[in-house]
Amino acid sequence: MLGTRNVQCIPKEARQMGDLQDYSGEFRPETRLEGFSKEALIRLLDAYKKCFVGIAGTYHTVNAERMGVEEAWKVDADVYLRQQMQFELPLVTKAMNIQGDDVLTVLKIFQMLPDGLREGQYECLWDIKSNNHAILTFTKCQTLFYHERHGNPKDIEGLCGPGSIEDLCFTAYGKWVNPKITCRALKLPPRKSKDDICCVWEWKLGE
Amino acid sequence: MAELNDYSGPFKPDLSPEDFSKAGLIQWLRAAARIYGGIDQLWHGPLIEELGQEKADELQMKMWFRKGGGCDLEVKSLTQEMDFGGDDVASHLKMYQLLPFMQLFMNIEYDVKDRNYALMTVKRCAALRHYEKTGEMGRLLQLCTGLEQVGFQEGARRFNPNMKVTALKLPPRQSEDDICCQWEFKIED
Repeated sequence: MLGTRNVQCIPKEARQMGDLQDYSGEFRPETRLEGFSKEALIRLLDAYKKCFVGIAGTYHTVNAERMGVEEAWKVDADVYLRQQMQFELPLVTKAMNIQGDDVLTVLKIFQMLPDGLREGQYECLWDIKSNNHAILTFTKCQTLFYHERHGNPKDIEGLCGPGSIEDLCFTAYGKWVNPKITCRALKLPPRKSKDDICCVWEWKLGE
Repeated sequence: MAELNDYSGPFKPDLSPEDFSKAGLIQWLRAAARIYGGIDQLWHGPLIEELGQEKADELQMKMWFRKGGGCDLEVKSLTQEMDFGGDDVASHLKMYQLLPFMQLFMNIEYDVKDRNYALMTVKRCAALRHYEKTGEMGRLLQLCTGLEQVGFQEGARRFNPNMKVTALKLPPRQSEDDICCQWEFKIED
């Protein structure tokens, strides 16, 4: 069944305001984002994030079937790095007016990425030592959990091992903000148990 | 706490989307939509370089139209989060209004005649404009008569198996004043 949200959950006063709480009503040829409520926009953003991560994941799967896992991860890295430089970094920093050249600027960008931190998907603990030094402990990573379930160690290496896509991308985010920012993994998968954390990364602005 | 119109202020470890104003959220959504809207070409391009056009096209079609692939994912995520369903053509057209590529890179006119029939006219299409400039007509035809034509039909089928999508006009066009393409959505008995 398409569409499952119960409109009765939405407060009456909110429903009476002009903004659409969802798109369950009639088709409006001139619909624009501005016509939706804040809550609806947040859900739409969530839908975009799910599609974005899911489409990239499905491309990885069909590529791996065609060319093998290791080659598929090489294509992934190529695509992600192009995406970062051509789209993600310029678009997100411009749209959200993120400026600066310290480690906290990198973390702000992380929070804004379409495949970035999101409750339930990718979650982390922040240990902010200073503006120029932070350690992130990832406690939830659905991509890692997916590959753990499917049991291919090469996929976990390609995703988060040394020289992996995460390693390349995390480093590149830091360098884009400031070439003196370094990134290193303090702990990486594979995990000993499902209760274990996923990984730990340190960003530091060097002299 | 005042709502944020952007993220120029200090780092907020517990930031959540609710912290932004509606204007701030729209800015964020548009950036996310531009990134997501360009994702297919970002994957398809390197695959063409690596494997050649034909095999890259094959993988692209698999990614979009296999069970649980891109098409299923978009229909499921958008209909669930924005709570719309229905098996008529107008319900299906709501999808296109919310899909980033169509929302940002195209100007579209919808003419819904009744629950079983509608016309969709694309008046501006950034992809068409790009390929017209570069002269890559092969890539253009692959996009419009391959991916899009199959994609519209596959998307429609997920709302109603009897919905048929027909291209009434496709590129190449005679002049820049011409429309880009036109599609008919019809539910057949």
